[in-house]
Amino acid sequence: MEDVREQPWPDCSDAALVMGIARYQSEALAEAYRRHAGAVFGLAKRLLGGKALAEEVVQEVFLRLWNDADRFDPDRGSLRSFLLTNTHGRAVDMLRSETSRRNREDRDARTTAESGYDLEHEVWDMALTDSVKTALGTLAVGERQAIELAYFGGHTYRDVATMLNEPEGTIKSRIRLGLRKLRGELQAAGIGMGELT
Amino acid sequence: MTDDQMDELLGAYALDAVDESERREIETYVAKNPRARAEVAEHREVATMLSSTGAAAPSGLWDKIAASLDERAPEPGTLLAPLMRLDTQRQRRHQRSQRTAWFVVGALAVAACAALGILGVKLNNRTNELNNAHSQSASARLETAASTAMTTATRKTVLLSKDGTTAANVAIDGANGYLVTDHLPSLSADRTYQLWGLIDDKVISLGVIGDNPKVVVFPADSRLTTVMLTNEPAGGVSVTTQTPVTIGTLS
Repeated sequence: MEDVREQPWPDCSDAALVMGIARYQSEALAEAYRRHAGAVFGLAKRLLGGKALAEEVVQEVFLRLWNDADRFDPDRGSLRSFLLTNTHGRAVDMLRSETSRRNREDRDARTTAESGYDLEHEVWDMALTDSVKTALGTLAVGERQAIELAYFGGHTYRDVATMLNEPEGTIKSRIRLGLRKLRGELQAAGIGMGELT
Repeated sequence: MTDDQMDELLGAYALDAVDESERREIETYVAKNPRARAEVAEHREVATMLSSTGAAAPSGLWDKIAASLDERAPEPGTLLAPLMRLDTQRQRRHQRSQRTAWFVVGALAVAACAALGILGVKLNNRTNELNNAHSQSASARLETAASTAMTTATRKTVLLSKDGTTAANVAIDGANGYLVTDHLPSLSADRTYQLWGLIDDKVISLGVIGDNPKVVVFPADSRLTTVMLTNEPAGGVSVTTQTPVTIGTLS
Protein backbone atom coordinates (compact mmCIF):
# COMPACT_ATOMS: atom_id res chain seq x y z
CA MET A 1 0.00 0.00 0.00
CA GLU A 2 1.34 3.38 -0.94
CA ASP A 3 2.22 5.97 1.65
CA VAL A 4 -0.86 8.13 1.94
CA ARG A 5 1.25 11.19 2.62
CA GLU A 6 2.29 11.17 -1.02
CA GLN A 7 -1.27 11.38 -2.25
CA PRO A 8 -3.37 14.46 -2.89
CA TRP A 9 -6.11 13.09 -0.62
CA PRO A 10 -4.83 14.67 2.62
CA ASP A 11 -6.11 18.00 1.34
CA CYS A 12 -9.55 16.67 0.51
CA SER A 13 -12.73 17.09 2.50
CA ASP A 14 -14.39 14.02 3.98
CA ALA A 15 -17.11 14.31 1.34
CA ALA A 16 -14.51 14.14 -1.42
CA LEU A 17 -12.82 11.21 0.31
CA VAL A 18 -16.04 9.23 0.31
CA MET A 19 -16.51 9.94 -3.38
CA GLY A 20 -13.04 8.51 -3.95
CA ILE A 21 -13.78 5.51 -1.77
CA ALA A 22 -16.97 4.93 -3.72
CA ARG A 23 -14.74 4.64 -6.79
CA TYR A 24 -12.60 2.07 -4.95
CA GLN A 25 -9.59 4.34 -4.60
CA SER A 26 -7.69 2.78 -1.71
CA GLU A 27 -5.69 5.95 -1.05
CA ALA A 28 -8.91 7.72 -0.16
CA LEU A 29 -9.76 4.99 2.33
CA ALA A 30 -6.26 5.22 3.77
CA GLU A 31 -6.75 8.92 4.35
CA ALA A 32 -10.15 8.34 5.99
CA TYR A 33 -8.44 5.78 8.21
CA ARG A 34 -5.67 8.23 9.09
CA ARG A 35 -8.23 10.83 10.11
CA HIS A 36 -10.72 8.72 12.02
CA ALA A 37 -9.27 5.33 12.99
CA GLY A 38 -8.00 6.64 16.32
CA ALA A 39 -11.47 7.71 17.42
CA VAL A 40 -13.00 4.51 16.06
CA PHE A 41 -10.49 2.36 17.90
CA GLY A 42 -10.81 4.41 21.08
CA LEU A 43 -14.57 4.01 21.18
CA ALA A 44 -14.44 0.29 20.37
CA LYS A 45 -11.81 -0.33 23.02
CA ARG A 46 -13.71 1.70 25.55
CA LEU A 47 -16.81 -0.42 24.94
CA LEU A 48 -15.23 -3.82 24.52
CA GLY A 49 -12.37 -3.47 26.94
CA GLY A 50 -9.88 -5.39 24.84
CA LYS A 51 -7.50 -4.42 22.07
CA ALA A 52 -8.09 -7.50 19.93
CA LEU A 53 -11.87 -7.09 19.78
CA ALA A 54 -11.49 -3.37 19.21
CA GLU A 55 -9.16 -3.97 16.27
CA GLU A 56 -11.70 -6.39 14.83
CA VAL A 57 -14.36 -3.69 14.97
CA VAL A 58 -12.07 -1.12 13.36
CA GLN A 59 -11.42 -3.49 10.48
CA GLU A 60 -15.11 -4.22 10.03
CA VAL A 61 -16.07 -0.56 10.08
CA PHE A 62 -13.52 0.52 7.47
CA LEU A 63 -14.11 -2.48 5.22
CA ARG A 64 -17.81 -1.75 5.36
CA LEU A 65 -17.10 1.83 4.29
CA TRP A 66 -14.97 0.47 1.45
CA ASN A 67 -17.58 -1.98 0.23
CA ASP A 68 -20.61 0.23 0.73
CA ALA A 69 -19.54 3.87 0.67
CA ASP A 70 -22.89 4.99 -0.69
CA ARG A 71 -24.42 4.29 2.71
CA PHE A 72 -22.76 7.47 3.94
CA ASP A 73 -25.09 10.41 3.47
CA PRO A 74 -23.46 13.76 4.27
CA ASP A 75 -26.89 15.22 4.95
CA ARG A 76 -27.20 12.97 7.98
CA GLY A 77 -23.95 14.02 9.62
CA SER A 78 -20.19 13.97 9.40
CA LEU A 79 -18.11 11.03 8.24
CA ARG A 80 -16.73 10.69 11.76
CA SER A 81 -20.22 10.49 13.20
CA PHE A 82 -21.13 7.89 10.57
CA LEU A 83 -18.09 5.78 11.40
CA LEU A 84 -18.54 6.08 15.16
CA THR A 85 -22.23 5.23 14.90
CA ASN A 86 -21.29 2.07 13.00
CA THR A 87 -18.54 1.37 15.52
CA HIS A 88 -20.86 1.77 18.47
CA GLY A 89 -23.57 -0.39 16.92
CA ARG A 90 -21.15 -3.18 16.08
CA ALA A 91 -19.42 -3.06 19.46
CA VAL A 92 -22.75 -3.13 21.27
CA ASP A 93 -23.82 -6.12 19.17
CA MET A 94 -20.67 -7.90 20.25
CA LEU A 95 -21.18 -6.91 23.85
CA ARG A 96 -24.68 -8.27 23.86
CA SER A 97 -23.86 -11.49 22.09
CA GLU A 98 -24.03 -14.71 23.99
CA THR A 99 -20.30 -15.22 23.80
CA SER A 100 -19.65 -11.87 25.43
CA ARG A 101 -22.33 -12.14 28.07
CA ARG A 102 -20.12 -13.71 30.68
CA ASN A 103 -17.36 -11.15 30.27
CA ARG A 104 -19.84 -8.38 30.39
CA GLU A 105 -21.46 -9.67 33.55
CA ASP A 106 -18.05 -10.00 35.12
CA ARG A 107 -17.23 -6.49 34.13
CA ASP A 108 -20.54 -5.15 35.42
CA ALA A 109 -20.00 -6.87 38.73
CA ARG A 110 -16.51 -5.47 38.99
CA THR A 111 -17.68 -2.01 38.02
CA THR A 112 -20.39 -1.99 40.63
CA ALA A 113 -18.23 -3.51 43.34
CA GLU A 114 -15.38 -1.10 42.87
CA SER A 115 -17.44 2.00 42.23
CA GLY A 116 -15.97 1.76 38.77
CA TYR A 117 -18.35 4.23 37.24
CA ASP A 118 -16.82 7.18 39.02
CA LEU A 119 -13.30 5.98 38.35
CA GLU A 120 -13.94 5.23 34.68
CA HIS A 121 -15.58 8.48 33.92
CA GLU A 122 -12.78 10.38 35.57
CA VAL A 123 -10.25 8.54 33.43
CA TRP A 124 -12.36 9.20 30.37
CA ASP A 125 -12.58 12.84 31.33
CA MET A 126 -8.83 13.15 31.04
CA ALA A 127 -9.03 12.27 27.37
CA LEU A 128 -11.81 14.67 26.47
CA THR A 129 -11.25 18.11 25.14
CA ASP A 130 -11.80 20.96 27.57
CA SER A 131 -14.89 22.14 25.75
CA VAL A 132 -16.54 18.73 25.92
CA LYS A 133 -15.58 18.39 29.58
CA THR A 134 -17.11 21.77 30.30
CA ALA A 135 -20.29 20.82 28.50
CA LEU A 136 -20.53 17.52 30.38
CA GLY A 137 -20.07 19.45 33.60
CA THR A 138 -23.30 21.32 32.99
CA LEU A 139 -25.35 18.12 33.08
CA ALA A 140 -27.07 16.92 36.21
CA VAL A 141 -25.27 13.93 37.70
CA GLY A 142 -28.15 11.64 36.79
CA GLU A 143 -28.12 12.78 33.17
CA ARG A 144 -24.42 12.26 32.85
CA GLN A 145 -24.55 8.84 34.45
CA ALA A 146 -27.39 7.74 32.19
CA ILE A 147 -25.58 8.85 29.03
CA GLU A 148 -22.24 7.39 29.99
CA LEU A 149 -23.64 4.04 31.10
CA ALA A 150 -25.74 3.79 27.94
CA TYR A 151 -23.15 4.99 25.46
CA PHE A 152 -19.85 3.87 26.90
CA GLY A 153 -21.20 0.96 28.90
CA GLY A 154 -23.24 -0.37 25.99
CA HIS A 155 -26.24 -0.88 28.30
CA THR A 156 -29.88 -0.53 27.32
CA TYR A 157 -31.85 2.16 29.06
CA ARG A 158 -33.63 -0.62 30.94
CA ASP A 159 -30.31 -1.93 32.23
CA VAL A 160 -29.32 1.58 33.20
CA ALA A 161 -32.59 2.04 35.07
CA THR A 162 -31.91 -1.12 37.02
CA MET A 163 -28.31 -0.15 37.73
CA LEU A 164 -29.27 3.29 38.98
CA ASN A 165 -32.48 2.11 40.64
CA GLU A 166 -34.56 4.61 38.73
CA PRO A 167 -37.78 4.26 36.67
CA GLU A 168 -37.21 3.46 32.98
CA GLY A 169 -39.08 6.58 31.92
CA THR A 170 -36.72 8.71 33.97
CA ILE A 171 -33.68 7.22 32.27
CA LYS A 172 -35.17 7.69 28.78
CA SER A 173 -35.81 11.33 29.56
CA ARG A 174 -32.41 11.89 31.11
CA ILE A 175 -30.64 10.50 28.06
CA ARG A 176 -32.64 12.56 25.62
CA LEU A 177 -32.56 15.78 27.58
CA GLY A 178 -28.92 15.31 28.48
CA LEU A 179 -27.94 14.94 24.83
CA ARG A 180 -29.94 18.04 23.95
CA LYS A 181 -28.27 20.00 26.71
CA LEU A 182 -24.85 18.84 25.58
CA ARG A 183 -25.56 19.94 22.06
CA GLY A 184 -26.71 23.33 23.25
CA GLU A 185 -23.66 23.78 25.45
CA LEU A 186 -21.25 22.79 22.71
CA GLN A 187 -22.89 25.12 20.24
CA ALA A 188 -22.85 27.93 22.80
CA ALA A 189 -19.11 27.28 23.15
CA GLY A 190 -18.82 27.82 19.41
CA ILE A 191 -18.28 24.20 18.51
CA GLY A 192 -20.24 23.07 15.51
CA MET A 193 -21.21 19.46 15.21
CA GLY A 194 -18.61 17.42 13.39
CA GLU A 195 -15.80 19.88 14.05
CA LEU A 196 -13.81 17.64 16.36
CA THR A 197 -11.56 15.47 14.25
CA MET B 1 -45.79 2.59 20.82
CA THR B 2 -47.33 5.99 20.24
CA ASP B 3 -45.40 8.72 18.44
CA ASP B 4 -44.75 10.44 21.78
CA GLN B 5 -43.36 7.24 23.23
CA MET B 6 -41.20 6.85 20.14
CA ASP B 7 -39.92 10.38 20.48
CA GLU B 8 -39.07 9.81 24.11
CA LEU B 9 -36.84 6.91 23.08
CA LEU B 10 -34.92 8.74 20.33
CA GLY B 11 -32.02 9.60 22.62
CA ALA B 12 -31.64 6.03 23.82
CA TYR B 13 -32.06 4.76 20.25
CA ALA B 14 -29.29 7.07 19.03
CA LEU B 15 -26.99 5.56 21.65
CA ASP B 16 -27.97 1.96 20.74
CA ALA B 17 -29.53 1.69 24.19
CA VAL B 18 -32.83 0.10 23.20
CA ASP B 19 -33.61 -3.57 22.82
CA GLU B 20 -33.96 -5.26 19.44
CA SER B 21 -37.75 -5.07 19.12
CA GLU B 22 -37.78 -1.39 20.06
CA ARG B 23 -34.95 -0.71 17.64
CA ARG B 24 -36.88 -2.15 14.71
CA GLU B 25 -39.99 -0.20 15.62
CA ILE B 26 -38.11 3.08 15.96
CA GLU B 27 -36.22 2.51 12.71
CA THR B 28 -39.53 2.29 10.88
CA TYR B 29 -40.73 5.43 12.64
CA VAL B 30 -37.54 7.36 11.90
CA ALA B 31 -37.50 6.32 8.25
CA LYS B 32 -40.79 8.09 7.59
CA ASN B 33 -40.35 11.00 10.00
CA PRO B 34 -37.78 13.61 8.92
CA ARG B 35 -37.97 15.45 12.24
CA ALA B 36 -37.20 12.31 14.20
CA ARG B 37 -34.45 11.43 11.75
CA ALA B 38 -32.88 14.85 12.25
CA GLU B 39 -33.08 14.49 16.02
CA VAL B 40 -31.34 11.12 15.92
CA ALA B 41 -28.61 12.57 13.70
CA GLU B 42 -28.13 15.40 16.20
CA HIS B 43 -27.85 13.02 19.13
CA ARG B 44 -25.31 10.93 17.25
CA GLU B 45 -23.22 13.97 16.44
CA VAL B 46 -23.14 14.82 20.15
CA ALA B 47 -22.07 11.26 20.95
CA THR B 48 -19.35 11.68 18.34
CA MET B 49 -18.02 14.63 20.29
CA LEU B 50 -17.81 12.47 23.41
CA SER B 51 -15.76 9.95 21.47
CA SER B 52 -13.30 12.39 19.94
CA THR B 53 -10.37 11.91 22.26
CA GLY B 54 -7.48 12.01 19.84
CA ALA B 55 -6.51 8.42 20.57
CA ALA B 56 -4.34 6.63 18.02
CA ALA B 57 -5.11 3.35 16.34
CA PRO B 58 -2.57 0.56 16.89
CA SER B 59 0.26 0.45 14.42
CA GLY B 60 -0.04 -2.24 11.81
CA LEU B 61 -3.83 -2.27 11.82
CA TRP B 62 -4.05 -0.41 8.54
CA ASP B 63 -1.87 -3.02 6.88
CA LYS B 64 -4.39 -5.69 7.87
CA ILE B 65 -7.22 -3.67 6.41
CA ALA B 66 -5.29 -2.89 3.24
CA ALA B 67 -4.57 -6.56 2.77
CA SER B 68 -8.30 -7.29 2.92
CA LEU B 69 -9.34 -4.76 0.33
CA ASP B 70 -10.91 -6.11 -2.75
CA GLU B 71 -9.01 -4.03 -5.26
CA ARG B 72 -11.90 -3.67 -7.62
CA ALA B 73 -11.46 -1.41 -10.59
CA PRO B 74 -13.90 1.44 -10.85
CA GLU B 75 -17.02 0.18 -12.50
CA PRO B 76 -17.57 1.44 -16.03
CA GLY B 77 -19.67 4.53 -16.11
CA THR B 78 -19.19 7.45 -13.81
CA LEU B 79 -15.55 7.98 -13.00
CA LEU B 80 -13.76 10.36 -10.75
CA ALA B 81 -10.66 11.08 -12.78
CA PRO B 82 -7.68 9.68 -10.89
CA LEU B 83 -5.17 12.46 -10.64
CA MET B 84 -1.55 12.00 -11.55
CA ARG B 85 0.95 12.06 -8.72
CA LEU B 86 2.90 15.28 -8.33
CA ASP B 87 6.20 13.50 -8.77
CA THR B 88 8.51 10.90 -7.30
CA GLN B 89 12.16 11.02 -6.33
CA ARG B 90 13.00 9.30 -9.58
CA GLN B 91 11.03 11.75 -11.61
CA ARG B 92 12.67 14.62 -9.77
CA ARG B 93 16.07 13.31 -10.79
CA HIS B 94 15.27 12.42 -14.36
CA GLN B 95 12.42 14.64 -15.41
CA ARG B 96 13.46 18.09 -14.31
CA SER B 97 12.05 19.52 -17.45
CA GLN B 98 8.65 18.28 -16.37
CA ARG B 99 8.84 19.80 -12.90
CA THR B 100 6.88 22.90 -13.71
CA ALA B 101 4.19 20.93 -15.44
CA TRP B 102 3.86 18.49 -12.56
CA PHE B 103 3.67 21.35 -10.10
CA VAL B 104 0.67 22.59 -12.00
CA VAL B 105 -0.77 19.09 -11.86
CA GLY B 106 -0.25 19.03 -8.11
CA ALA B 107 -1.90 22.39 -7.75
CA LEU B 108 -4.77 21.14 -9.82
CA ALA B 109 -5.03 18.07 -7.64
CA VAL B 110 -5.28 20.22 -4.53
CA ALA B 111 -7.77 22.46 -6.26
CA ALA B 112 -9.75 19.42 -7.24
CA CYS B 113 -9.86 18.24 -3.66
CA ALA B 114 -11.08 21.60 -2.45
CA ALA B 115 -13.50 21.76 -5.31
CA LEU B 116 -14.85 18.33 -4.57
CA GLY B 117 -15.52 19.44 -1.03
CA ILE B 118 -17.42 22.39 -2.40
CA LEU B 119 -19.04 20.07 -4.88
CA GLY B 120 -20.27 17.96 -2.00
CA VAL B 121 -21.92 21.00 -0.46
CA LYS B 122 -23.40 22.07 -3.76
CA LEU B 123 -24.66 18.62 -4.41
CA ASN B 124 -26.17 18.43 -0.97
CA ASN B 125 -28.04 21.63 -1.55
CA ARG B 126 -29.28 20.40 -4.86
CA THR B 127 -30.26 17.12 -3.35
CA ASN B 128 -32.16 18.87 -0.60
CA GLU B 129 -33.99 20.93 -3.12
CA LEU B 130 -34.95 17.83 -4.99
CA ASN B 131 -35.86 16.17 -1.70
CA ASN B 132 -34.22 12.93 -2.71
CA ALA B 133 -31.00 13.18 -0.79
CA HIS B 134 -31.26 9.69 0.56
CA SER B 135 -31.68 7.93 -2.73
CA GLN B 136 -28.80 9.35 -4.73
CA SER B 137 -25.53 7.50 -4.74
CA ALA B 138 -22.18 9.22 -5.16
CA SER B 139 -22.23 8.18 -8.81
CA ALA B 140 -25.68 9.58 -9.33
CA ARG B 141 -24.61 12.83 -7.72
CA LEU B 142 -21.72 13.14 -10.14
CA GLU B 143 -24.03 12.51 -13.04
CA THR B 144 -26.41 15.16 -11.74
CA ALA B 145 -23.57 17.66 -11.36
CA ALA B 146 -22.27 16.89 -14.85
CA SER B 147 -25.72 17.20 -16.36
CA THR B 148 -26.24 20.55 -14.66
CA ALA B 149 -22.85 21.79 -15.84
CA MET B 150 -23.60 20.78 -19.42
CA THR B 151 -26.70 22.96 -19.27
CA THR B 152 -25.52 25.97 -17.28
CA ALA B 153 -21.75 26.29 -17.81
CA THR B 154 -20.53 29.05 -20.08
CA ARG B 155 -17.24 27.37 -20.98
CA LYS B 156 -17.86 24.28 -23.08
CA THR B 157 -16.53 22.35 -26.02
CA VAL B 158 -17.50 19.40 -28.14
CA LEU B 159 -14.86 16.76 -28.81
CA LEU B 160 -15.35 15.34 -32.29
CA SER B 161 -14.19 12.00 -33.63
CA LYS B 162 -12.41 11.77 -36.96
CA ASP B 163 -15.67 10.79 -38.64
CA GLY B 164 -17.31 13.95 -37.36
CA THR B 165 -19.49 12.36 -34.70
CA THR B 166 -19.51 13.73 -31.18
CA ALA B 167 -17.08 11.77 -29.02
CA ALA B 168 -17.69 13.73 -25.85
CA ASN B 169 -18.92 16.99 -24.42
CA VAL B 170 -16.90 19.00 -21.94
CA ALA B 171 -18.12 21.74 -19.63
CA ILE B 172 -16.26 23.78 -17.04
CA ASP B 173 -18.16 24.77 -13.91
CA GLY B 174 -15.85 26.78 -11.68
CA ALA B 175 -13.02 24.58 -10.46
CA ASN B 176 -14.65 21.43 -11.80
CA GLY B 177 -14.61 20.18 -15.34
CA TYR B 178 -16.98 17.49 -16.59
CA LEU B 179 -16.59 15.22 -19.56
CA VAL B 180 -19.57 13.23 -20.76
CA THR B 181 -18.88 10.79 -23.56
CA ASP B 182 -21.22 10.27 -26.46
CA HIS B 183 -19.88 8.10 -29.27
CA LEU B 184 -16.46 7.46 -27.82
CA PRO B 185 -15.50 3.87 -28.67
CA SER B 186 -14.40 1.66 -25.80
CA LEU B 187 -10.80 0.44 -25.76
CA SER B 188 -9.31 -2.93 -24.96
CA ALA B 189 -8.63 -3.65 -21.29
CA ASP B 190 -4.91 -2.97 -21.64
CA ARG B 191 -5.52 0.58 -22.91
CA THR B 192 -6.99 3.70 -21.36
CA TYR B 193 -8.15 7.10 -22.40
CA GLN B 194 -6.19 9.90 -20.80
CA LEU B 195 -7.53 13.42 -20.53
CA TRP B 196 -5.15 16.33 -21.07
CA GLY B 197 -5.46 20.07 -20.81
CA LEU B 198 -3.53 22.96 -22.29
CA ILE B 199 -2.63 25.52 -19.62
CA ASP B 200 -0.19 28.33 -20.35
CA ASP B 201 1.06 26.40 -23.38
CA LYS B 202 1.80 23.32 -21.25
CA VAL B 203 0.08 20.01 -21.73
CA ILE B 204 -1.12 18.76 -18.34
CA SER B 205 -2.65 15.40 -17.48
CA LEU B 206 -6.13 15.88 -16.08
CA GLY B 207 -6.78 12.23 -15.43
CA VAL B 208 -6.50 8.63 -16.54
CA ILE B 209 -10.14 7.86 -17.23
CA GLY B 210 -10.33 4.21 -18.17
CA ASP B 211 -11.15 2.22 -21.28
CA ASN B 212 -14.85 3.05 -21.43
CA PRO B 213 -15.53 6.32 -19.58
CA LYS B 214 -19.04 7.72 -19.37
CA VAL B 215 -19.00 10.68 -17.00
CA VAL B 216 -15.78 12.12 -15.60
CA VAL B 217 -15.09 15.01 -13.27
CA PHE B 218 -11.66 16.58 -13.45
CA PRO B 219 -9.84 19.58 -11.95
CA ALA B 220 -10.33 22.68 -14.05
CA ASP B 221 -8.50 25.95 -14.08
CA SER B 222 -9.41 29.35 -15.51
CA ARG B 223 -6.31 29.15 -17.74
CA LEU B 224 -7.44 25.90 -19.29
CA THR B 225 -8.05 26.58 -22.98
CA THR B 226 -8.01 23.21 -24.70
CA VAL B 227 -8.82 19.65 -23.75
CA MET B 228 -7.88 16.48 -25.57
CA LEU B 229 -8.05 12.73 -25.22
CA THR B 230 -5.28 10.29 -26.02
CA ASN B 231 -5.20 6.51 -26.19
CA GLU B 232 -2.51 5.25 -23.77
CA PRO B 233 -1.40 2.02 -22.09
CA ALA B 234 -3.51 1.10 -19.04
CA GLY B 235 -2.37 3.14 -16.06
CA GLY B 236 -1.64 6.18 -18.18
CA VAL B 237 1.58 8.05 -18.89
CA SER B 238 3.23 11.12 -17.46
CA VAL B 239 4.09 12.55 -20.87
CA THR B 240 2.18 11.60 -23.98
CA THR B 241 3.65 10.99 -27.40
CA GLN B 242 0.33 10.04 -28.94
CA THR B 243 -1.67 11.98 -31.45
CA PRO B 244 -4.89 13.06 -29.72
CA VAL B 245 -7.95 10.96 -30.46
CA THR B 246 -10.00 14.10 -30.21
CA ILE B 247 -9.41 17.68 -29.21
CA GLY B 248 -11.58 20.70 -28.44
CA THR B 249 -11.10 24.36 -27.64
CA LEU B 250 -13.16 25.76 -24.81
CA SER B 251 -15.52 28.58 -25.62
